[in-house]
Amino acid sequence: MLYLAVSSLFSHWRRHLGQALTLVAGLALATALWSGIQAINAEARSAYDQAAATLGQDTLDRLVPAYGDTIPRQTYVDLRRMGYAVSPVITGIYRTGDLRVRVLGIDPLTAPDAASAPVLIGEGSGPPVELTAFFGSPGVLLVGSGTDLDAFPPDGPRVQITGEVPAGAAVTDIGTAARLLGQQDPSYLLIDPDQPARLPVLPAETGLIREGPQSGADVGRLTDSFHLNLTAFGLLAFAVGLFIVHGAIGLSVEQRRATVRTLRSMGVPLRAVLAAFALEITAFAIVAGAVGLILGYLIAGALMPGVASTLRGLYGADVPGVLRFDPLWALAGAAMTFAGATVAAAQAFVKLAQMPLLAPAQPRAWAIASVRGMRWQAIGALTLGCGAVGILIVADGLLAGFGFLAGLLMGAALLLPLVLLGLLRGVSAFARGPQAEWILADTRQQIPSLSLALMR
Amino acid sequence: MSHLLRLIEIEKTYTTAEGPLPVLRGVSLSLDRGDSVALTGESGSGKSTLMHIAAALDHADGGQVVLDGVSVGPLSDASRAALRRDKIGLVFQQFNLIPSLTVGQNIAFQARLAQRHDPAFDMMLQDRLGLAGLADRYPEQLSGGQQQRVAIARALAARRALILADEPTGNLDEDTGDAVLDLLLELASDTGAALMMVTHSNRLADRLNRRLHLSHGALAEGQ
Repeated sequence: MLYLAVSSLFSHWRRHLGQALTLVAGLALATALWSGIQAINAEARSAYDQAAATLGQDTLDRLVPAYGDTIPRQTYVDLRRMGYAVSPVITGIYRTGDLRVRVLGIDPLTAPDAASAPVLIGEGSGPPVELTAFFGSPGVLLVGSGTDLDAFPPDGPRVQITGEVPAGAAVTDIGTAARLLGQQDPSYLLIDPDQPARLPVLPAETGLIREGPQSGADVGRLTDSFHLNLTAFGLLAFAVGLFIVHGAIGLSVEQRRATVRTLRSMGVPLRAVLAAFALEITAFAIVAGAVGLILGYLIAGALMPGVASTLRGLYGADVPGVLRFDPLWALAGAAMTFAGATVAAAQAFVKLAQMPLLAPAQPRAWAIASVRGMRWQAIGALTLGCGAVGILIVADGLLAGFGFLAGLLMGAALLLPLVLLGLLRGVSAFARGPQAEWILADTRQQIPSLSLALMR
Repeated sequence: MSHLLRLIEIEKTYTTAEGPLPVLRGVSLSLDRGDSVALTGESGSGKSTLMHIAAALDHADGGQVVLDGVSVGPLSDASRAALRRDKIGLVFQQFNLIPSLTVGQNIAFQARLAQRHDPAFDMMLQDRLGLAGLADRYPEQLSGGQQQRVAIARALAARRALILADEPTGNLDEDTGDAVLDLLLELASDTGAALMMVTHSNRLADRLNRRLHLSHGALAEGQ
């Protein structure tokens, strides 16, 4: 029975291909824009975390200059003589043409265990590096797999790719880094957690400040507003896509009201009709979700280099310009598609479920049922409006701003049908002649669909 | 012998802007297998409402509907649907064909729903109703008369115990109307089904076993 109900309802699409394409396109675009942006955000955040974790920077304290960008070598030597277990790091951006790599030069002899590249001590995923080559000239650069190798001069250090270094970064011996960057003094000193006992307090005249471990959250906090803006844009695009889907589903259900009545009068129970509609939406969601995820991945891949440049230029954050495929991202995108399709179809389903068996094919009955639903819509609109005003009064910041705007816009969208209905009632009093009366009556009947179109 | 259909003291009142409008005031009737009953009455007298209540499509405000020994009133939506699927063949005034299915698929629909589809029987119905060669067309490609015959074929193809037809010949010329009624009566007789038909035609009403007239919410024999 379910097969017959599904096939008779689904046969509608054979004759309304344009409508089917609108539904799939709306859902696919909503999924693509949302999931594409999520892919970019996830890739960037993963890059922040990975960069922060390089050579134990997310676990080790450091000494940084209070003023300037470097620490005099003599200061480092003095601290070592006083017994402090500190290790120098030279870091900077190596540029050649448009290419740019963050170079991190370490001293493996003094570096704390957490700061040793695993590949140096034979614990990495790749082949261990030859230490004599690493210390010598021209040296060895350990680079992440996404790094552009054209950035390095052919007669420069030997390049070895390793999974322990993030893309866009290179780890090398401090001497090699000094030659590449043209910088002789350390950028900062890593502090070994195992310091000799009874050390004197760090002398103030060194001009150094002790900093806690770097974490991805530091860059993350800096770039939060950027990613929030992207997410808000993605959500907006998703919502617009859902309105298109809502319209297409609403139209298809309205066009099949007579079919629903016939099915039920022939002996198909309401729950089978609803199950058939649910299966239909699921099928659309599967197709649109797959198309949307592919599109989203392509969009994110195309946008990634530009986003990486922007993040680098605005925040100095190192993000690779390439996108990796993450199955969790695909699953989250698919879940969003199904949730979106369910939300978009919910109103039409509820109306169908509540409609008496003999009423669905009567447009007036459909309109009356819609007007009944508008009472709840008005309550929703007022709640959202009050919520928006409440946010404006008590909250502050970017998130609160988005919340305020979302509440205001959605409240206004929900209120629109009621405003239009009121306007039409007002105008009806002045309507003269059969044509004017017909136009107003017909418009009143179309209010739910009309308001939806205006919302878009 | 138990009746196939019993309507006992059926009441139905519509709420209008002018106040309550009673259309059925304690209507009772019984139908046995093989019966053919014509239901006549003025427009708006409640004939279609009575048919809908008998077909478990609408609820009565009072009274009881018993179909093949089952009291319809307390049944759930799913049980009512099952009753319609298994016991009742319906012909609607507005045909109610599924626009996206072909003529052949429309005719077979209810029979397939009840898993009693007989393609040979469908072909015979199509021939007898003048629908041969139209099986692959869509309802919108047919005339009103042809659509009505498709709706009749659909009700007959399922070979139900009770056929409820709301003006099944209203869109047909006299000769075709006579032929369709011949077929309805013949198949009802062959399968032992009961037929209740709403009609405005005295000529057609006279051809059925019984004639009931609905007026001012009450049912009267003959007239």
